[in-house]
Amino acid sequence: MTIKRLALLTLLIATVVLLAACAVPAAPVAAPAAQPAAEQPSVPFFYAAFATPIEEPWDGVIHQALQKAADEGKITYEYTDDIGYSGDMERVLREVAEQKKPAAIFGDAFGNEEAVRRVAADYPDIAFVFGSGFGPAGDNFSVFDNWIHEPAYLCGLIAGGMTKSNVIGVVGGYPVPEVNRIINAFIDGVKETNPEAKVLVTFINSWFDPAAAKEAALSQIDAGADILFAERFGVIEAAVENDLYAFGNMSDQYELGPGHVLTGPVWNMEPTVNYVIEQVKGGTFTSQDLKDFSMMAKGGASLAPYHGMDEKIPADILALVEQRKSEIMQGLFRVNIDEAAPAGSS
Amino acid sequence: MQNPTSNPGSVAASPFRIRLERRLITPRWVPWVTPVVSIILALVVGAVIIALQGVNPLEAYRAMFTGAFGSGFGLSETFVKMTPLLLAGLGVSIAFRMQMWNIGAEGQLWIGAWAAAGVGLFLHPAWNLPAWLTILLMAVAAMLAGGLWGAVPGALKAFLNVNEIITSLLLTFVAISWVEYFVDILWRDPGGLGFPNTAPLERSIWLPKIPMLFLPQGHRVHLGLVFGLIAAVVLWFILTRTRWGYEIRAIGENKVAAAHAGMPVARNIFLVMVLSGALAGLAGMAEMAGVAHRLQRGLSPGYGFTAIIIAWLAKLNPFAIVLVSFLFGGLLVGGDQIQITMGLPAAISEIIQGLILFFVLAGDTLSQFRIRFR
Repeated sequence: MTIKRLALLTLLIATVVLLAACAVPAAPVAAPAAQPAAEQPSVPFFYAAFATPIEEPWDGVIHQALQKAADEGKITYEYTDDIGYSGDMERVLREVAEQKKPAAIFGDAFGNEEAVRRVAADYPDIAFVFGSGFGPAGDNFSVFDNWIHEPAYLCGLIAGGMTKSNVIGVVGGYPVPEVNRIINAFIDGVKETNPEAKVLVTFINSWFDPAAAKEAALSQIDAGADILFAERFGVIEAAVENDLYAFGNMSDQYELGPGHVLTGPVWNMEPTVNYVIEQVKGGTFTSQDLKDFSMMAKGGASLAPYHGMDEKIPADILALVEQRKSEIMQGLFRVNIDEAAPAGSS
Repeated sequence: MQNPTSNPGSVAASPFRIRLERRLITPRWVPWVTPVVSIILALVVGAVIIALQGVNPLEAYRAMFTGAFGSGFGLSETFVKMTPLLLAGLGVSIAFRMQMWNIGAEGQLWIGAWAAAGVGLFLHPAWNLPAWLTILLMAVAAMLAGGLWGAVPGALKAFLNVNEIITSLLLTFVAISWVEYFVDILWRDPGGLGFPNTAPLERSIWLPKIPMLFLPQGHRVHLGLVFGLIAAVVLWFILTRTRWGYEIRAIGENKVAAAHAGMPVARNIFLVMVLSGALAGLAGMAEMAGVAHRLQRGLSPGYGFTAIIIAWLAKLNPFAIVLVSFLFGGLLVGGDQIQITMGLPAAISEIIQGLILFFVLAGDTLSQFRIRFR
């Protein structure tokens, strides 16, 4: 085929495409997905804007709770993900606010804090509900976070009661407050059942680097650790390879290491989402820190199901865990919140 | 990407033999038609992918277009997005002119952002500098740092003949890890809860916004765009009006002949790589001081790599780079738009970018070679 024929062919295709483009009546870009909101005016329309892909566990928890509410018919729901940290969050939020006019926008403000708050201030009629380490703002900017230190403490009780070597490994992301308080609560639990035990803490300085997390776990195993807390992905693999027990984090991660994952702290955004739905429906949305809705008493945090692994846990430890669990639920026991970098971490 | 100088050979294993034969004459219009045709072909293939997602591709393209260019807000965001692409695109283009394949603009951009952040966060308060001087120093520091990052592969190529594709690319990962080390540990803002980044720059040393009457209030178009436009004019001037530009072009056409003509080939390789890196470094400074206002992870989603596509599509012409980076900025803005309005994955715009490069390279090859089946 000569270049002339090739050029002719492409020109032909281009012409067809252009003609087709002209033939289609210039309908306004009515978003088809937005129509259900119009058909069912009684159900509020919620939107979510995530900096990471929804496959990332943190944003995944938020997305799942919103999707569930949509499946139950409480809201209509759409989302945009993988917005990143390159200055795109502000534009996306403004476009969503202008074009979609949702009743509420959920998302994570981490890494885009100023941009999210700027947009929220410009759209006072939309409820902004964002994951953030900072406080609520104005009349329409509520914050939440994963407050799963309570189940982390319960995991610590189990770890302390089960270690034989008296060395326990913890691999975390960054030494930031929301990670520190989980790890510190875990350590508190360990110390309660086993004051002798030593807890090794390593931060991989990444939110998602399974290879680095696994490497950190392996060196903790070399240093004698015989039970691991996988604050981040990758650690459970090391536990499986060395036939050790491990705790997951954030979601039920039993499937990552059946027979090895005992349990783990689980975050559940449904109580937060349901509360906001009620507020929006009732027209009573106000900015507030929604942290209570991510804690155990309100169902926002829990211990992952044991999947039969409770048989491996000594009965007295299991009884203590159950006792503390019910005390926490009833408000009789308060897990200490310590957001400083854990002692002896590296 | 390098023009093959000999016949690339044939695939002989099958009964069909496909051979690339060098064309003796390439018609003058071909170099200018291939970019246009490749964009159209990329859009056609992209349309198939969009249709597979159950969305009318024409509506998706229309939404992309109106999202990027159809409103003052969209237009202003397209200007914001084109700024780093323009500067980095100009940077790689000057190296490509000389057949120096600087693939490391991304790293040069990051290290430029890092140097500028250092000046803004520490030098500015320590020396109590006036804002305009700090902004100037940030730009200079970014260009020095980016220039240094380009100088390393430049020197290795010029004096030891080490392949600059590999060294410039690998230095990108060094730069990003270097920046992450500062962001995560040394310069991490203790007040930045839950996410590693530096403290924000003082408001007075943010790159000032360009006043534009037709853009909405609160737009984000900043001085970096002006840097880019000035750089385009300067590059054009260097290339077409100066002795150095003549040498760059001559070396790019034929290194051996240029050396025989007494041109300092090694020195020019080094200097061009420094200039190339300096422009990419300036892109990093503009993004840091104009958009993010702090150093943080994810500052650049790969502007330095997209810049390679842009330079190539623009045939290394500085003014064409202005136009193409404007279009690519629109592609990024429009890509977000179709995710919001049509529920399409934002990756569509990246797919289209990749397709454009694919067709440009294929088109370049076909304009120099003809395919023979026998």
